[in-house]
Amino acid sequence: MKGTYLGEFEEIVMLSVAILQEEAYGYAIAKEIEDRSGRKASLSALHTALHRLEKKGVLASQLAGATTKRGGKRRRFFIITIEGKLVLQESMRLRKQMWEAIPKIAWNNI
Amino acid sequence: MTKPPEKIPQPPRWATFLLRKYTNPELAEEIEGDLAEAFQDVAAQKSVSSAKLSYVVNVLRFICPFSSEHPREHYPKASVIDMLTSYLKLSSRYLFKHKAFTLMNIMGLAVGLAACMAIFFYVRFELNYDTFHQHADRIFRVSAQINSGESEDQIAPTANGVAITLKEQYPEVEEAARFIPTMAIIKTAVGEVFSEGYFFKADPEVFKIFSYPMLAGNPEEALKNPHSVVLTKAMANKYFANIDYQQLLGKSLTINSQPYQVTGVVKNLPENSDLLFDALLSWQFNSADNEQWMDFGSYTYLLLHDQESSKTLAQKLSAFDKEFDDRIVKEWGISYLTVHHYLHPLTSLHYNNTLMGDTEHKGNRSYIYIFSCIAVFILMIACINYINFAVAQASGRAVEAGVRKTAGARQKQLWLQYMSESFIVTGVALLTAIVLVQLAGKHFTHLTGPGISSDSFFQSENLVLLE
Repeated sequence: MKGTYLGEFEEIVMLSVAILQEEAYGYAIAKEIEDRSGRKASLSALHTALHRLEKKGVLASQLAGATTKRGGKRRRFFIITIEGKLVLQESMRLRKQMWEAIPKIAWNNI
Repeated sequence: MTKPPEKIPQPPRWATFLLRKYTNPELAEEIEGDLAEAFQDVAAQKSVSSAKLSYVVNVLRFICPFSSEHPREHYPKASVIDMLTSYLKLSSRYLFKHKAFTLMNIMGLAVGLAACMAIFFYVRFELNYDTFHQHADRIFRVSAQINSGESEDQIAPTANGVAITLKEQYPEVEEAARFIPTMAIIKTAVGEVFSEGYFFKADPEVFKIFSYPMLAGNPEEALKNPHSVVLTKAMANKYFANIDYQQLLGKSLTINSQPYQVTGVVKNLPENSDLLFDALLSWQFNSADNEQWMDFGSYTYLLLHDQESSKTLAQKLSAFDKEFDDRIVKEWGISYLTVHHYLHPLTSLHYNNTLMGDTEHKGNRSYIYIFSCIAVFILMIACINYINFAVAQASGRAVEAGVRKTAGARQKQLWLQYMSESFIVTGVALLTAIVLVQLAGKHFTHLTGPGISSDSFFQSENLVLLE
């Protein structure tokens, strides 16, 4: 999908969804981000990001799995779509390419 | 029947209600679930109260103000917390940009508020004379008016016998007690000699009538035995330095060359008490004292059964006056004197300064009213000043409002923006005023005379009243 770029937070969210596989829903993603990056992900910011990503077509979602801990409310599980995978890969490829383009000598002297 | 499940902590219901009302119904379920889960986790890891707090904060982050009014709004709205932060940030930027204006505005308001507060404290102090007594509304003082044919004199104290007679003969009177001012010369153990002007001989019943808070000793027994003395905290510290008040009971103090036993210590009286004493001495009133009708030396206080009985008693007092006059004729052979007794409510004693031999530090009701008016005027002037400043800035602000509207601000948002600015100004002014009053407290006391001590200025209750 041409022209879809991910922001830094969006990318982290996407990667967390990828890591969590079947278990990727709002609160679990927030905990994953917090565990890995140490920064607190506000649930409201996360929800906004997730739904924007779904609108962009890089995520898909489904409601399921109510538990008593959630007061009987279902969760929305997210999965990465083919487009999402491509976008992620594209972003990694771009980064890798740019990293390799940094002149080594100048870089080591910073 | 199964056992009811163990009680698990629940998030605050009102927050959930807000969430349901103000979020997109399509998303409400998953959001609520996530928040509930986060709540349970925090509750398990930290505490229920911090879980509740973070739940509320999260809910506030989710909800958008006024979304129910514009359900089909095209653009997503910022959350309450974000908008509030933005308002405060923008307001403080504006205020910092116009430093001189802001400073004048705040100082004007602060000085006005400070003056108002100082007057308010003064008025409150003056209006609350003797109100700390539990039965304050049922306590009355008996005063006398002596008519000698040539002159009429109103005097505050009455004859010694009045208290006993009134209590015995009139059912309206629940308790009666006398305070008799006494000059006291005190000799300490090391031989120092002091003279005290605020010692009173008193009946044991004073503790039934008045609610003097005791630090040590039993109020019912304190003045029962001869040669007992009840000291205030200040006197206890003066004559028995560094001693626990409980241990002080039973110690001896030489007053007027007689040994007195300390049987109680009362808290220092609030400065807004009409009758300020330093110590109470027990006094065995013998029958000769009680039959004393011409000395006019006792402040006589009555505790009535209810407020109504003050009226009935006042009517009956004319009969008592007649009996009184007869006694004078019989015992002293004086027939030209007529004495009229009347009742004064305790809480209004402070404002009556026409009586002879009355207690010191009288106040004046009209001053209180005048000061109250002045306070209101000062506040009005401060407000007008504030409005003037706002009006002076109006033209510039109109442009600003226009720009904001063009950028998409709604009327309510503009309103909140300007309100938050006013809140900052008034809030800072209030804080400054509190500091000013605190600083001025001591000097203010010089102006008002013995009245408000600086520490009574900032009693917690005063601060609560400000809120």
